[in-house]
Amino acid sequence: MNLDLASIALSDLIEVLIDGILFGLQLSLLAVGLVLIFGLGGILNLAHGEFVIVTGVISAVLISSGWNPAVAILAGILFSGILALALDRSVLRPVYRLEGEMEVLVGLFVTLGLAFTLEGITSYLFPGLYFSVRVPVETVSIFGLSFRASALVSGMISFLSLMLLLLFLGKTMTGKAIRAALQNQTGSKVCGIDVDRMRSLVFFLGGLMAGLAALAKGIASSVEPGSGLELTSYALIVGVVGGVRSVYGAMVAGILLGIVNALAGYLLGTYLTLVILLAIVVAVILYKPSGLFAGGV
Amino acid sequence: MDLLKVEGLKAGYKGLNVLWDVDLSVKKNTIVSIIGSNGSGKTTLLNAIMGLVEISEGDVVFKGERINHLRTQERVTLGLAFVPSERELFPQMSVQDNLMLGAYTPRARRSIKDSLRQVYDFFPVLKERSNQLAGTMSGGEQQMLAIGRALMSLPELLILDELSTGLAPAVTLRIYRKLKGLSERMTVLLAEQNIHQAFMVSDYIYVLENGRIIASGSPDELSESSLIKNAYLGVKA
Ligand SMILES: Nc1ncnc2c1ncn2[C@@H]1O[C@H](COP(=O)(O)OP(=O)(O)OP(=O)(O)O)[C@@H](O)[C@H]1O
Ligand SMILES: [Mg+2]
Repeated sequence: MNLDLASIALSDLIEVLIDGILFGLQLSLLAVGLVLIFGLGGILNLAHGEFVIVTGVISAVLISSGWNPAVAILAGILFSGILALALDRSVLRPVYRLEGEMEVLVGLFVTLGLAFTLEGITSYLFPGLYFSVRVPVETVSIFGLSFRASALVSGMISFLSLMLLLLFLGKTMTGKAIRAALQNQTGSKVCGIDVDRMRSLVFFLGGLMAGLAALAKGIASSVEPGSGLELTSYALIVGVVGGVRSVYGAMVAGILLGIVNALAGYLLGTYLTLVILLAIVVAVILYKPSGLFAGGV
Repeated sequence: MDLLKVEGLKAGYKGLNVLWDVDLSVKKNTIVSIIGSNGSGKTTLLNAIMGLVEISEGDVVFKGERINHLRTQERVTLGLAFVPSERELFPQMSVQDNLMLGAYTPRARRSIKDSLRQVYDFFPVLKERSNQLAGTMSGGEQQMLAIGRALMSLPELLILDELSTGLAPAVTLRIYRKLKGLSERMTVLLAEQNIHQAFMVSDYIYVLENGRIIASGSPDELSESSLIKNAYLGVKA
């Protein structure tokens, strides 16, 4: 058989690209919630990655105690949504009464505290636990290229979740009210929109999206306690690159950074990828502080 | 019947009181204007009625109900609509979406199609540009959009802060005529810089100076008053 080096490199590259897109979709799913919550609540939620862990932990515990996996995962996702909602309604309530810089700073420390608390509780109660969903088929080959079936399924779930969110925000009256509240709070109130209620709803949605990200991640690889802050860092990177108030920007930036991440990992080595992503964030903040894709939703 | 009553109102901003003991009432199916020089407190008064500025003393009563404690969106649900002086549109949404959001309350949502048609009849330019982003409309078009959005909520009391801002005089005049026509069904409260237009269109006028009502009456009564003639109408008494 005649081996052609150039074509191997190309097919490798395509696989890397697709891997990048699939990972990027997970990032998007994680970042949209962060961006929505920042846009409406004025809080950069450093506990956002913990919502992923919580879904993973709840699902794994329920599955191991005999629940039907589908129901267990659904319960896990729902739990993250409700947890996010509960945070909005309780500890964050006093933070919203602050203004400007003070709200941002106090918000950072309150959510950082929450992140450590949740990370502590989940690691202490469930050491060594991890959430992973196996797909029955190993690999799928498309046009002569082979893909891990799990990565494809995971990507599909991320993509569908994002499309559903876009549809909700773009087509329903409640979705439009959320976008309205992101763009102009006084204007929203004058239209009869309850901005506080929209903010709570956005927390719930952000929690659900993080829960869905846990499912996507659990299928592609695994979710385990202790990695929440790393996930939050990814979400922050994507959110800032996309434009920290833009849901649409977060989606595009997630995919873009997923590709960069995969390429950097392939060409330079995985230990460098996070550093490269951080360098990109710094460059975006310096040269285009509103984000690459600000505007839109 | 008084649709809106403001009694002994004191309001302002952190560390700065602006309105002092303001009394005002708006009868159903009339057009009432508040006039006064820059910084006299017109915007503050309208914002206080809408719940956008905190009240420290006094009452706002709408349809016989004290609404001091209600949040802005609850006041809108009760039948108040507001066109703020800064318009407060949703810049990255289409003209049509901006209008639809004006009909967010359940009552207004039921007749959203009819209202949309009426607003488009009222402002044909909004129909032509229904897909354009609100933020890219001209100043005058944005003002029409803000008025259209307020009408979408089918208000009982329409409150307008500086209706004429950014609009050509002919357009302002046309809107005033339309409002006059609408006042069969709707009541209107205006803050207006343009004294002549306020005199032309209003059934009753309040004059606000330094946060206090210093005179009030029908346009005829006020134009007889030498104080008003000197200060506002540019006529020597
Ligand atoms: N957000 C605010 N914080 C502090 N002071 C304010 C604020 N808004 C208005 N003021 C002050 O309150 C007073 C009344 O302002 P207001 O905007 O109500 O006047 P106005 O009659 O609407 O004036 P104009 O005709 O210029 O619109 C002014 O002295 C103004 O400086
Ligand atoms: Mg004003």
